[in-house]
Amino acid sequence: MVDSRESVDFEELFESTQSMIFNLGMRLFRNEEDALDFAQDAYMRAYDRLDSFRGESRASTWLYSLALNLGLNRLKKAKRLKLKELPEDESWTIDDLEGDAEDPLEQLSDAEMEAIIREELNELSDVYRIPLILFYFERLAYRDIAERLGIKEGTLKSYIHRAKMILRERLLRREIEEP
Amino acid sequence: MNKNEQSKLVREIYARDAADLSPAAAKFAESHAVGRRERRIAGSIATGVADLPRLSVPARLRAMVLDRLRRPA
Repeated sequence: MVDSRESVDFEELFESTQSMIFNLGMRLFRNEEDALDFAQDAYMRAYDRLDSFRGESRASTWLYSLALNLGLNRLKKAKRLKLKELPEDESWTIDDLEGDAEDPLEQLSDAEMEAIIREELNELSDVYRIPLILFYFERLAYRDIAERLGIKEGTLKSYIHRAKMILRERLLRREIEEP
Repeated sequence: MNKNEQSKLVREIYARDAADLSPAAAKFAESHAVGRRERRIAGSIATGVADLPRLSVPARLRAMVLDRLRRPA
């Protein structure tokens, strides 16, 4: 068996992945101090566990997976990611559907709208924000996200759906109140 | 179309990818002013999250990791 400590140049791995790992930390924890602490911990653990790296994937992929699980576990331990089954949204009636009224978003460019979405995303509770980020930014499959979060796929989809409905409502409210 | 029917179609726009919409929801998203608006918002949410900015890494991370590993135990 190849000794992973010898086959992986850890300094080179750090250089090529530090942006990926630090930015993952920023997305998970939303502040620089926590992101740095997370990144340091991720690299220390990776170094300690290099023996478990089998070379079946790229070292960066292995490191990313290890770091993501570490970050999600930190959020769970801090009780910031307590996801439970959500009731069905089917009975919701959406109140702000005005068929012929003027579209409050008409004057906004797509870029402006996306910037508002990102501001509001940062204000979302982690139980909604994290699933949305894992799906749309990290581009993980529903199944993979559900496994990492320890929930059913259906529950995950409900959180993602609910997160989008909250962002929609906040976007519309902002544009109606302060166009 | 009443409010409940519209709500159902709007929920579907946010629950599925554009390519997976039912014919009724796809038609609503295409031909109705509210449907077009909602499809635009749903698309902006997906793009807005997917395009989160990447920040530059503080220089001290290198010391926090590599210097610590080089330090004798």
